[in-house]
Amino acid sequence: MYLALIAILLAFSIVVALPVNYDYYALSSGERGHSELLNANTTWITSITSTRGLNAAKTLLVVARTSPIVTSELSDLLEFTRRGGVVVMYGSREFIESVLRGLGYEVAYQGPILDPVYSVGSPRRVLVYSSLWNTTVVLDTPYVFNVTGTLTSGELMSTECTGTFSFVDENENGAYDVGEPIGEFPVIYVVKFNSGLLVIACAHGVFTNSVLGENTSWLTHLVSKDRSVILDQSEFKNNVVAYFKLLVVSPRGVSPLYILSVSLAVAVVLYYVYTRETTRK
Amino acid sequence: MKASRSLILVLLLAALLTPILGASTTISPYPQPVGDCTYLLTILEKTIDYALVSDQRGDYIARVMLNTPVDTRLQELHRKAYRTILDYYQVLSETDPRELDKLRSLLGGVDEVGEYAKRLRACSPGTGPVAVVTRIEKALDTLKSRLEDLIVLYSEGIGQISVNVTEKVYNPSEEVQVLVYFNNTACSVREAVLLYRDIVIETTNFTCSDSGECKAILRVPPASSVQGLIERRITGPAKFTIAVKATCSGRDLVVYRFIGAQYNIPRLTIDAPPVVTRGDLLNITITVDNTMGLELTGVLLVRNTMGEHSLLNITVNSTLSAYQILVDKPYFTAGNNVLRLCVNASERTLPYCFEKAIIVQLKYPSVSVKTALTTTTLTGGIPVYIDSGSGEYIALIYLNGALVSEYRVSGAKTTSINSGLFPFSVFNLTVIIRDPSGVYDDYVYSAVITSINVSTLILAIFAGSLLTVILREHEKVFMLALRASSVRTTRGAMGGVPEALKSIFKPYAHIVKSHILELYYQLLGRLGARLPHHYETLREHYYDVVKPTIKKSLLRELLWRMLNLAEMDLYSQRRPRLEEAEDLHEGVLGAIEEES
Repeated sequence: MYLALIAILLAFSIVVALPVNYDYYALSSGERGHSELLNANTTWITSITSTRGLNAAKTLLVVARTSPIVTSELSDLLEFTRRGGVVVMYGSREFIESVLRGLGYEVAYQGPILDPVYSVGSPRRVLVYSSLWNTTVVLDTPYVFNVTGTLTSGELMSTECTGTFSFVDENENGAYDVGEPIGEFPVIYVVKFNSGLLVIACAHGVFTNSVLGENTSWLTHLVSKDRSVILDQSEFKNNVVAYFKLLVVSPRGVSPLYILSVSLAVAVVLYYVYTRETTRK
Repeated sequence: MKASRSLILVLLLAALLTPILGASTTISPYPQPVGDCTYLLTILEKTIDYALVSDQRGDYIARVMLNTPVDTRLQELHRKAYRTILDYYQVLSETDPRELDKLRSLLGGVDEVGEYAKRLRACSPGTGPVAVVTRIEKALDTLKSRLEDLIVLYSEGIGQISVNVTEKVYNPSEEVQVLVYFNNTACSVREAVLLYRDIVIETTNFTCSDSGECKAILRVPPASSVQGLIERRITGPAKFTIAVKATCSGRDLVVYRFIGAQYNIPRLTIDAPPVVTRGDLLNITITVDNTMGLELTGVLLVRNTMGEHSLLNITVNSTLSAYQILVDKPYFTAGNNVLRLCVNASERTLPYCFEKAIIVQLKYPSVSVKTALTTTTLTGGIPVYIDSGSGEYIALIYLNGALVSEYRVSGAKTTSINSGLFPFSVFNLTVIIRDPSGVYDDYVYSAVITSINVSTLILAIFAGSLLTVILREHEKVFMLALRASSVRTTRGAMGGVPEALKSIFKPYAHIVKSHILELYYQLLGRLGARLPHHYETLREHYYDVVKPTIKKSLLRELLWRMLNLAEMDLYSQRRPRLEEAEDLHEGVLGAIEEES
């Protein structure tokens, strides 16, 4: 019996100790992870509904996902921005497509953008100059949509484009082919809701580990009004391992409550073993 | 309280962000060296297009591209090309006539841009970049014309002298008249130079009249003189520069003018049947668009796996020329052959080559080779039937790759090829029929033949049977083998294989070692009685075989006595005398003769 208990505790400890490399996961140190962002005093939420209790005017919410967003979650986020919050969204093509559609746009995917000239280290790490913040942003593997229609709510404040040297790799072969569009393509949409902003970056990475170092300048601009950075991790609610790690690990290490619980459990098991041995004697 | 908490939070956030948040607000691009040639080609086209319309975006792209690292093999040409484009933008923004030399240098730089485009085309996959390069070349032509106009404009700007050259497209060898008028009496003209790029083609002096007009005649070089310089451009004339060198008030001046010269590519084609059989005559028709009435000389070559060979020298001076070529062995190989017609440069036309592929089929002699796949002959010969019809050829016959027969064959003939002494053998038979005159290709016949040599087969069967009969009884084969093995392995063993064979052919003699017994066996043989088996005693044999066979009692008694002597000789210490046994042997023989 006590052996089973020790095994369970050991299993949970291993789960906590082992690294996981899910895209956009707070504790992931992979290229698409957010472990670097945690160093910037970032906390996380595991449900979008948690935004209802946040001080929106003092918060920068980073929402990065692989799966599309559902309508109720988008409504909560729009409400958050209306209350003065700033939301930066990026992630998979499906996720951004769902966000743009949720805002009322018609979108058609054109392809990934490569820039062999105006890039850092790789044609996939594309530089984008933002006139709104007067800074340069590096987007990790951006892509472009043909966006038509109008917003159903909010006001399109700015559209930031890639440089003159970028092109759409329509056949996704990683090289330029004659006829593929070349020039500037819109990759960042900034939508204003009252005093809040919704920043939609059509890219797989913005504040991810791969490009956070290059985008710190922009992050500084975004948090300049005393905002704290909160990372949305609600996508991992259905992932038992990832969710458990989020529960027992805080941004500054393993939760003291978890350590206390494990210690108590170990103490109980040891006491049980000791008393049993004494009874036998 | 709330404000102070927020302040603390902000301070904390700033403190934590400081190490990772840099102070700079711009990021300089540091791209990987660009190796995507199609991409570079498209960007180059874009830049040139902007330059043609003096769009400053072209200047921006050129500046960025100048500092963009590319593949090391392209880097130098890449920099030169974008430097030229930037120089062009710079020249556009300046109107200083002193920049004349820079303009001329720029004119040469445009060619390097074209060269860069071609290099990019060479490393771009697919056919799409071909159209891009064509567009770039056209745009560069326009760019060059503009530069030439600028050079002329700046030359005019000097205002000291006027140079008059009829600007038109000249034909090769046509004269170009250069007239110079002086606006300043302190000016004099030295010479007129005809240049192609920076290469001096011709220099001539001026002759001046009393009216102050100076004239020089330059001649547009024939195509044969500039064939190495001028590219084979299908479109557009070649541009020559006329430089008029003058001196005004002790200062040297150069005034430039540009003329075009039209050099043509001869339009010629070869018409020939696509498939031809070796030994046949190949009819070739050379068609040339000879509206200029030129006489073109050249050479007709054939290229194949054996290399390239000259077939004949040709002279084309009419629209159609027909030739006949014997498709013969030294020059034409079986399969693909490429006819290549190359004409030399003429006065107006540049050198040019035209190719036409033909397929040469082999031509075999009309022969028939037959052989049975299984041959059974008394001597083991393989009969090969060859019918060469009316021709005379050389037949080469190979068995398992080795030449076994070579002879001349005319008409029908059957040759027997000796397959050897083996009673049964399988051979790869190859018969090559070769034409000694070389007109026909080798005819090759191959077959796998099974040959049965009846004579050696019978001999083998006979020998085998004989040996079997001899070795049949008493496991003698086993004995022989045992003895053979014991010769090497058993020390001091009695006798060897020859002795063992002797014992096999003379049974019991070796075993008993008795001469008297041998005499007894001889008598038994004479009487036609079988010898004792190994499991019979002499007495058992006597009662079972000898006694029932011999009817005469005297003879039976003599044989019994002989048997007793043999037994004594074999086993008793009191061995009988041999003479006694021989006397008895003689007696038995006499009795046998009497009985018979």
